[in-house]
Amino acid sequence: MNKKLLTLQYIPYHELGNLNTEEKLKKILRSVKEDKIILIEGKLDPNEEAELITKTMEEIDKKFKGIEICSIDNIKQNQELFERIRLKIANFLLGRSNGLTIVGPATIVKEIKKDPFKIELLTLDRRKRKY
Amino acid sequence: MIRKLKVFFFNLRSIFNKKKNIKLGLYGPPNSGKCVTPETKIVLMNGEIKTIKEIFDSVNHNNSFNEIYIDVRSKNLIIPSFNTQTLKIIPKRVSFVYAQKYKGKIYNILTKAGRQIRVTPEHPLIRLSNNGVENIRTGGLKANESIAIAKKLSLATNIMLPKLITENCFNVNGNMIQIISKFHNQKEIIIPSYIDEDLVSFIGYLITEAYYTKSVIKFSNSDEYALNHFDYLTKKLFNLEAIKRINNGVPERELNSRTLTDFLEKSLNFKPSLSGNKQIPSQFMGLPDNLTAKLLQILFDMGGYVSKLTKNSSNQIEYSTKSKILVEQVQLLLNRFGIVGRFRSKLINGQAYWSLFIFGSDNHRLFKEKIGFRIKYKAERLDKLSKCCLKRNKFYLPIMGLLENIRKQEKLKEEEFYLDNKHIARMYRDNRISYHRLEKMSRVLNNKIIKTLTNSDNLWDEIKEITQEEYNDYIYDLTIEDTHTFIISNGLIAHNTSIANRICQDWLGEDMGTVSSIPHETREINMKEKITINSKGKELSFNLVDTPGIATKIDYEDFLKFKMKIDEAKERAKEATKGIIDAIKWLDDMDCVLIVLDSTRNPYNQVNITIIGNLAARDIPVLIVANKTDLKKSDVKKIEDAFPQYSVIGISAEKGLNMEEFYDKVFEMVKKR
Repeated sequence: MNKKLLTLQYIPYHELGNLNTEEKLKKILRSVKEDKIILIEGKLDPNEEAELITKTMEEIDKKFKGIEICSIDNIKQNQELFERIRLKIANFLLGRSNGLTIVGPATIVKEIKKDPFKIELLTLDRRKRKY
Repeated sequence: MIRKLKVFFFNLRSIFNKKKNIKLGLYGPPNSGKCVTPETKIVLMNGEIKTIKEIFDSVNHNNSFNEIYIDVRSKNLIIPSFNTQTLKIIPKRVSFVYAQKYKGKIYNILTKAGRQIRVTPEHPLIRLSNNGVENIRTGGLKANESIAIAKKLSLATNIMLPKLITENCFNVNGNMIQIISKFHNQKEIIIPSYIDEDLVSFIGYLITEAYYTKSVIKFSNSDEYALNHFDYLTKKLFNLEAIKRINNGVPERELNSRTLTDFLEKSLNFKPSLSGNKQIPSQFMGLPDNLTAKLLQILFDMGGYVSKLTKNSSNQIEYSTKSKILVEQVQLLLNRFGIVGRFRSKLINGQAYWSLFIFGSDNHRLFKEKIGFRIKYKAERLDKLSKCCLKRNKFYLPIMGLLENIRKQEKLKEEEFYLDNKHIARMYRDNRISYHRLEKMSRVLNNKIIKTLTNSDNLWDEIKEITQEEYNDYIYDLTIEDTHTFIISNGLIAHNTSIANRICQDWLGEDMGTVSSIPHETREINMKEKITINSKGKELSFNLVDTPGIATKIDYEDFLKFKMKIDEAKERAKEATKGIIDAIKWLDDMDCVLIVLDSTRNPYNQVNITIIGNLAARDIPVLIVANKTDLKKSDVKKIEDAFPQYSVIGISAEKGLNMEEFYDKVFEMVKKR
């Protein structure tokens, strides 16, 4: 694989939905350690998110410096109650999850900015990346 | 990355207690106190001098605590405070008193003028250097540096005497009183209703020359005028005749009136005391100039000494006594007229005596003009001293670098700027200029900085020595509104720990101004329990958990930028990862989280948005504190825009801005839990 290219990997909800937390995090971290930026359909729950940071810390070494992670909702806080319930029911029936999560290796992703409904991901200059 | 994520861990049981007092606990790095030791005496505007412990104990009702803040704004505790911008001493209100259990080093600072203070290394004093006037932590001070002491200070007290509570103590007949006694028919005496020159003189005689117990006052002196004056005063003020005696060849006057001693104690708080504990009643510390001058004249006439003018010996006015507090009070009274002396202590026959030496012709001239002596030979000696030009006791300002910058800006030659070319090289070499010269310069040059320095209400006293000792007890501090300084009884000016500063220290582990730039400085969890804040009648008692910043990435190479060796950097990175794992384990136990950000910097570089989201998802209330709002670069809006879903409050920890709103937000946040 040519490491100098930026690789984006999309993981649909059904690919992670049936896995338990440990398997889910293993899969995410494996991809991130391969220097891929992954887009996950849906959000990790708060415990999974914290666990992911813990696992990341455990695996930090000379090559792997950590991750950048950010997630975003597709239900607005100020959306009407009826609308929010409608979206939740639709998601449940279609087996879909709310929002989107981005996880990337810290050696590539410099910074993630988050507006409540918009994510901006800044990568390091290719020439300055540490491989 | 979260640089520092500090977490409040609320004691929920107490939130629901019967008193409805919300209890909230706070935790910071251990031993970060910026305080003084309990015996430090604070000057109050009403003339009282109280130890900081006495002030604290008068408002504290909590017996068991490690650290406590008490809101005393409603108590109207007014103290003289030094404004570091205008260099003037003005009355200010104390807003908080603070105490903390402390184990660690205490610094003992002694100045050339004999001022002494015992403080923690973090406690700031006010220094003058080539950078101008600045607050500096005591741990950063060195010998020969100059710190502020009071020069002109006027306290304010009422000349009307408080109404005497006569019930069950005195029989009253017009302005005559008589103590109620089972055994004797006590003599009636007249009592004064306000403080005049006669009462001031009488008290002056009692302080310096009288033996004074519960039932008898004996005044002995060989000065005939003083004896006659004493007789006149007892007759006029109290309608009492003193018994005349000769004791060991010295004429003596004796007053046997229990009514008089009780009146002096109950009305003036002038209690019988041994010579080592004698002090001036607080109501006499802030009288108008003429009464203050009269009191000083009596004290110096009776207990003072003026040296003969000689070339070889020290030429000074001296006041010596066994009571340390009395000698400090005399200095505070002299501060009214801008006279500053030096304290010395000496042992005579195994007993400690305290002296105040007033050197320098300037001080002698002021003494002669404002106070003077009645006793002829003392007045003649003072006259001679004040006519010559004695250069001792000069206070210097170590600001040659500052003055050079001004000179270059004004494009003046050395001779034009310093008004002559004498001693300029020595002034540069020693980095000091005398007040004399600076005063002359301020009259000629129209420079604001020079004028402020020469017209200041303080002097700059050099540090003679700094010693350290181990300490394990409570330490105390005050928070003063706006000016953040207080004056201790020997005239030394100390900067206070503003409650805001203190909290920032707890949350950030260091002062706002000196935040370490090294990432992951906190790598272990620290917890301090049972910390209390009292504000507006509400009480919050809480435990503060200081966690390492929760980051999602750690690169040991980041540490290499801070001149660490590779092995050290790797070790640090390892500790940091462990710290973050521990911090995450604590997340479930957190009740409230406060995240302090620097509002002059990019919020995204300071805090990990994932962690804030994670806390919110766990229903843990988050308050974002945008600090440094006093700086021009501050942009609270940027922080609000970065975290639109969270409550953001702008404060200035250093200036104490918006702290009330901050507390309201914290209280509000706790209530929601």
